[in-house]
Amino acid sequence: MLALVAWAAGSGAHAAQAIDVAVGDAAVFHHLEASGRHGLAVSGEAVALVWEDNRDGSPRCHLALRADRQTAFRLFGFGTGECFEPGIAPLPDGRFLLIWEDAEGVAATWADALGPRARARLAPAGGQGTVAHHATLGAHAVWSAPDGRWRRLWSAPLHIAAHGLEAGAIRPVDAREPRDDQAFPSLAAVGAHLVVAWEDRRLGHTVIHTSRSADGRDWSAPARLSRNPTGAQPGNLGRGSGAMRPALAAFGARLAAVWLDKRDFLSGYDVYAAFSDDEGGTFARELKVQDSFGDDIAQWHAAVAGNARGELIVAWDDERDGRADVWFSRLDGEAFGEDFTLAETSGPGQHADPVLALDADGDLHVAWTQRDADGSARLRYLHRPR
Amino acid sequence: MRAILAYLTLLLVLSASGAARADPPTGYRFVAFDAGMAQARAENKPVLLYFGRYGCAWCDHTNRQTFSDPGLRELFNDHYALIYADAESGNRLRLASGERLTEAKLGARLGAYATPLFVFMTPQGEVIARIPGFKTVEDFRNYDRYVREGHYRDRTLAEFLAGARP
Repeated sequence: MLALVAWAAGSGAHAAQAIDVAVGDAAVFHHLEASGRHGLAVSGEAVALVWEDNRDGSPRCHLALRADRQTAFRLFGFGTGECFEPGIAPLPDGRFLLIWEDAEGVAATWADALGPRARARLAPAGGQGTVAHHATLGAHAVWSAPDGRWRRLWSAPLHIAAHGLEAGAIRPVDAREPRDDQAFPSLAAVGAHLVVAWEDRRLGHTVIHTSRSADGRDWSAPARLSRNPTGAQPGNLGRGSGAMRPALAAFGARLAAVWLDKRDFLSGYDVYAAFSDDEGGTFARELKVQDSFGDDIAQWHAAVAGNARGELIVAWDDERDGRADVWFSRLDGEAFGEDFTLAETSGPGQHADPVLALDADGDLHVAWTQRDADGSARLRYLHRPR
Repeated sequence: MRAILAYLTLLLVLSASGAARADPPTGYRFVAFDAGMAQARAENKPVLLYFGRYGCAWCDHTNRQTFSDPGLRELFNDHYALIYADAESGNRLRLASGERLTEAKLGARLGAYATPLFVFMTPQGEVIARIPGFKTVEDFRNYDRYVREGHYRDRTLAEFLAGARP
């Protein structure tokens, strides 16, 4: 595959091998389904991955954390009862914020090489949590939980104590009463702001909206991000095209949003992106991420990662080669480069559900689910030096 | 009056099953995935899984042009377990394998990139046929014959339809 070699243009001489973080037989299902696809994070030399699987017979959340490149991943379980959609974000000094949904609602904590600490309970119901740490505003969480008829986004500051997390005052992101569901938020810190993007159905179809906060308490009025058309088709049919699963990542002083967009409905979802140069106040340059070789098929599970050097990479999975492979595209100036895959993230079997991070050196960290031809399941991680 | 009662019944069914507030056709006993699969097993009925999308124009068109047919409504209400899923929804369901996942995730696996997508399944959840896009009343009557007469056991849907055409 021609695109397989593309990474070499920006790669160092030594490439790491993929690691099996978790394995299982055909009855085991690994899920990397964090809201905003924030399932992998890097803090200094430390790397942490969260996921859900059913190896114990029911869905449980797991954390794999390694303190540095010389040590192996240590595995920890967390959550109460059935546990879903764990998300993660880096804290300074090899620590990480975790958020998840379990049998008692929405919860969060922090973890380091010793494992997760005591949780803070954020809501008795709901899920789709996302967390971020801001250098001056501290740690924050946003999640989606029922508010009467609709799901609504809620936010809270998180206070980090030695024993665990404590949640501050919980507030709705949108102060106005919801008119339809708000779901799948993605939270990021950029400049002096926290920014959240989410799926919003107030227009009768799913549209990506954003809001930002300069203090972690008050959020700006929701602003439309995605331009997937709103309105009925000829014959007064429907209410608008689809969009789903936004993901945010800061890169340098900028912010990127990616999402799945169905404005070209015949080929399914495409990966779209938009950039903000004013810390989430406005977004411009909405553009398609995948190249024309992926235009005629559906893309799924779009994730994005950036770093302080201003580098940005997007990943997703699609079946352009007749099976699910993980594909990538790097931002090159103001446009995305050619799609490429890696030997480890493609080939026989199914490679899907990427989550990723770029470290301070520009190295790529990526994890994905793999279903081999014999049905066995693997959760894989790769550190790809730049 | 009967129509109002039918609508209220539908609302109750959807509410009780935790179904998404999306766009199933009115007058049909569509329920959420877990409830529909339980019904299919209990009543030994095949399943029609309707993947729609919130605001989907072609789903709307199919609902108005095809599912408005009283005979089709009676056929599907009487002989199938009817499941409606939203291809963008985070509502969670449980597969026969024990796996729990969202409606959107199931949609990705079944290729619900264009909606509507209609998936016929056995009561045990095995996929019989995946049919995307707008379909007519006649189309659905042919699919029903393919499913309930058991033709899927020895021929593909395309082979069956080729033989069914005059």
